[in-house]
Amino acid sequence: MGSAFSGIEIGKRAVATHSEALQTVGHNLSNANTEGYSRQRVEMKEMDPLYDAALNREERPGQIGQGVITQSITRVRDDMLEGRIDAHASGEAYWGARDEYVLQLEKAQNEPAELSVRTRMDKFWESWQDLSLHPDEMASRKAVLERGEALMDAIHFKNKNLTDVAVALNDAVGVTVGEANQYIRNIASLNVQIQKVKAMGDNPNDLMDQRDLLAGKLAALVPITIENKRDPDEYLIHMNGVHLVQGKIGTPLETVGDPNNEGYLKVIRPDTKQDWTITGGKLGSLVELRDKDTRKEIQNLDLMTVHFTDLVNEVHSQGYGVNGETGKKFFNEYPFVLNVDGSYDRAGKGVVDSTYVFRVSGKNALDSQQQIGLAGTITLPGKTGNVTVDYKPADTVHDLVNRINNSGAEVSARLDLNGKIQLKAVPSDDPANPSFVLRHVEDSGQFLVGYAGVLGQSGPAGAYDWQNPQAVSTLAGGGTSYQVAPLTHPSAWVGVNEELKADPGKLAAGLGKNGTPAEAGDGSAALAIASLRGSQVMVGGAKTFDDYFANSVAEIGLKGETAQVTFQTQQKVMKDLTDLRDSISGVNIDEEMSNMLKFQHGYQAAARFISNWNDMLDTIINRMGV
Amino acid sequence: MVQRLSSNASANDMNFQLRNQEVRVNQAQNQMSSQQRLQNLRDDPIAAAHASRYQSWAERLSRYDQNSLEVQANLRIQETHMGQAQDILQRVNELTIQGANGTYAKEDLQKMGVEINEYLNELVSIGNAKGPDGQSLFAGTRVDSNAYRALQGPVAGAQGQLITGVEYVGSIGDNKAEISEGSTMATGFPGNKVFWADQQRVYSAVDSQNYTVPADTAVLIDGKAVDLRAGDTAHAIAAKINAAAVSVRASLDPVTNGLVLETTQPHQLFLEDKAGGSVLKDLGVLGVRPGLLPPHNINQDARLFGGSMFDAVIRLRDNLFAGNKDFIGGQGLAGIQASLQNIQTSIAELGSRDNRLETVSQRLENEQPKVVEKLSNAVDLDLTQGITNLKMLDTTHQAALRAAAKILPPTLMDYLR
Repeated sequence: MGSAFSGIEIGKRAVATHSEALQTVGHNLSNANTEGYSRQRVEMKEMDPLYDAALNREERPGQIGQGVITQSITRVRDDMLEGRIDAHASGEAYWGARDEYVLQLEKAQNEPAELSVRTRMDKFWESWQDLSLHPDEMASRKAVLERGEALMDAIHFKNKNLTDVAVALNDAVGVTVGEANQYIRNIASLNVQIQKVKAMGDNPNDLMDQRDLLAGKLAALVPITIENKRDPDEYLIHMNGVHLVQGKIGTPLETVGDPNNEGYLKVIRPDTKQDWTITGGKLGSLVELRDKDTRKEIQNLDLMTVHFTDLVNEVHSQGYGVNGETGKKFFNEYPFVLNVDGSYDRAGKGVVDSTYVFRVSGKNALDSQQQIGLAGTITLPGKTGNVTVDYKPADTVHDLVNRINNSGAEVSARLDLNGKIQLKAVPSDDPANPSFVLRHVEDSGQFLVGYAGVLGQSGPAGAYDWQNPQAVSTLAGGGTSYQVAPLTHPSAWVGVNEELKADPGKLAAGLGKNGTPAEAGDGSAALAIASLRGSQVMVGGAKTFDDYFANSVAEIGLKGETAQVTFQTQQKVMKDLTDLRDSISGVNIDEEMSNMLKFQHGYQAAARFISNWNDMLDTIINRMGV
Repeated sequence: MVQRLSSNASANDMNFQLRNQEVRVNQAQNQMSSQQRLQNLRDDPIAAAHASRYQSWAERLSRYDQNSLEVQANLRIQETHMGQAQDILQRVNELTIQGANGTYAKEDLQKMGVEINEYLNELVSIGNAKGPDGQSLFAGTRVDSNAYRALQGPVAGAQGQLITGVEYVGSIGDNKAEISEGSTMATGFPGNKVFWADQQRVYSAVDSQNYTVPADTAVLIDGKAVDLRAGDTAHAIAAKINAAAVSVRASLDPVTNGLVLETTQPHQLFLEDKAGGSVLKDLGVLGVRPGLLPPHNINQDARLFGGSMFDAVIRLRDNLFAGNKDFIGGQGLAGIQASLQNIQTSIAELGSRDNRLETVSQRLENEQPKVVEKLSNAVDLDLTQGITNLKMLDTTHQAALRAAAKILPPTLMDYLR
């Protein structure tokens, strides 16, 4: 026979367990709408039977069950699915940031609209057409200057818009790093608490829910991998081999201003302080948007501005104003390298160490359809290292110019108004190399030396190299012209020449003949400038200005389209994953309600059982005996 | 397919879909109100790129149209003046033929001379005609000054000062206008061609048999540069001038070995050495005195033949005053007829330029609507499509909301007592 009060114990245990279960149901219902909450379930287990079979066995069939106890309270959660969601979160956030900011870059283009850089440039060309018809009128000259100013305003404005986007991105980088660091700290401190609770053998479900929520948010910001979730000491969040959180130790991300990149923030590895390229996640997306996409847009604008002003200046300085003055530039850029030879102190050590020249021209007029009759190899700077361009005797000048332009070198070539060859620097891909600076020109044969009159000597001895502060001495003298490079973003600093604004009579309309100043009715310079619009002027890779504008519109539009579509796809996939998680871990109120009924009945039954047992004991205690 | 739905699942789904729908409705509304299919570049990047090209192209076409209209208007004005000059020359021609008839007495011829003098004055003022902007029509690119300068002096047989010579002081530059992509048209009629009479000939007096060009240079014949290399002989120079695209023929005189330059179409020669060179001066064609400008820079020792329309009329008038009937019927008439023919040639050229502009104008007028159509296709919204789209989205939006309202509210709690 068992203990007299064992029934009450069984009832008591049932009541306790069922009230725990009811409490858990209540907990689930209260947290139905809490973010990151996984529903909890009480695992009920039969209590171990009363005695071991080896001891004190009564001669009666056994083992009598001893009721129910709570084994554990666990979260219903699929860790594999959680891992997938975390991995996906960084992709979604990456495209989300891209979608948002590329839209701003698209808006900066202001196309196809009435007030874009392109339409103002169209009006500018038109004013030159008008001047070519009425070269003797002051009103036409004034119109040209006005349109030129309007165009400069549009270019400045676009530059400002793009720079504003870059600055906003930079701020966002700082804020995101701050957010990520906050999460890292919080996760580490939660780990401390979780560790203490687990040491006591309990399941810190709510703390772990919070930790998983924070880890999920961190995963959206940076592309992390989370491991060892079950073991609080070894709980590990790492990215690219660097541990961000390990147990209770959190290592925050660090940023430092980059002097080679306008002082924008760059992320460095916390252990070695080296540059750390983050790819993926919102942070990676912001850095990429700032350093690749926006920088490229600004570079594109600078490129167009530099070419455009150079082309107009070239023709304009050969023309004559009303008083017979010549040699005036139409556009001025401030600041330029001040040294006339282009020598510049790049390392900042107080001594000139490089030459910053944007364009070199030859001195001999060439006929584009003529065969060269020379053989050799031209060496030009490429994206990484140098690029070689061969030429054979049967090639025409036109062929060679095309070959240079298609060779992948960071140089573009064309024949100018007088048939002389021009080599211009294209913006460099690598931020370490300055933009708009010609880095290297070398010819093993005589094409650039005697034929075109660019270099003074062939072979490596006569090569033009930017690291030589006196590099212009390697250029063939006497009539070779070169243009020193702009120091800062040209699109922010160009303007119409102040001299022309003060006296429109100095604006050149005619080219004159044979060294004599142009007559009043000579509009040939104006016509030559107006025809720049459609001629093949090589703006970077684009052949004409039309090509340039169409290309830049298409490029940013396609980026935007890709970002939008990919983001929508990512969102849909994320939704499917979270729906799946929700179906596993989410609270269904109807289910909890029916569970509540179930436990309520169980509780009532247990309570009834206790009172029955109580009555039985009452019989023994009070009714038996004396 | 999930087998269990949490209570939030339906609400989340509804939110997700409705937010997406609202974005679509918003976009459709924006399209309708701006009448543009492209709200952002990402909506259709290729179409946006094309649209930017079409817009620029349309602007260009309208500019070319404007240019050709302006040039045409100028041509009308020039035509009026040239027509007047032609009429006057016709009248002078009639008078000359009458005067050549042997029946007139000296006094009658003198009276004719007076009439011709008036015509001469009128011709000079036509030569100096100015357009509506105040620029000279027949002075080439030197539009801020008169084309002709008249010299006055006494004439035998007449009273007072009459015009004794008319010099061309304009330039031969011809301003070009762009009337279509890459093609230009000259807009002026410089006086040295229009109001000229005979072919001009220059005979140099210098023996050029042993002459060689000392260094690379060029000579400018009617403004066109003919390049010469060091070591070229006079024959080579003549050959290069002939091969160049100028209406001038060069040769060497068989007797004196001097350079001879003849025009192949009547006009006044403009000769110059390139700055730094002196070939024509060395060959005795141009005078060596510094400061001489074409066309008055011909060497005094060289023989110059051929004159302008004004020269012909002046000679005729002088001979009428003097009563030289032989001259009147011979060289006088020939001069007038040559001038007349020249003017008629110029008027014909004007006519052909006008024709070309007409053709260009028509072509532009045909092309402009097509470009605008292309632009519209790329950028503008098809109105019927936009309206049906908006209506459809509106309907689906309302249906979704109504369905959600029915499904979301009831839970088990409503049915438990």
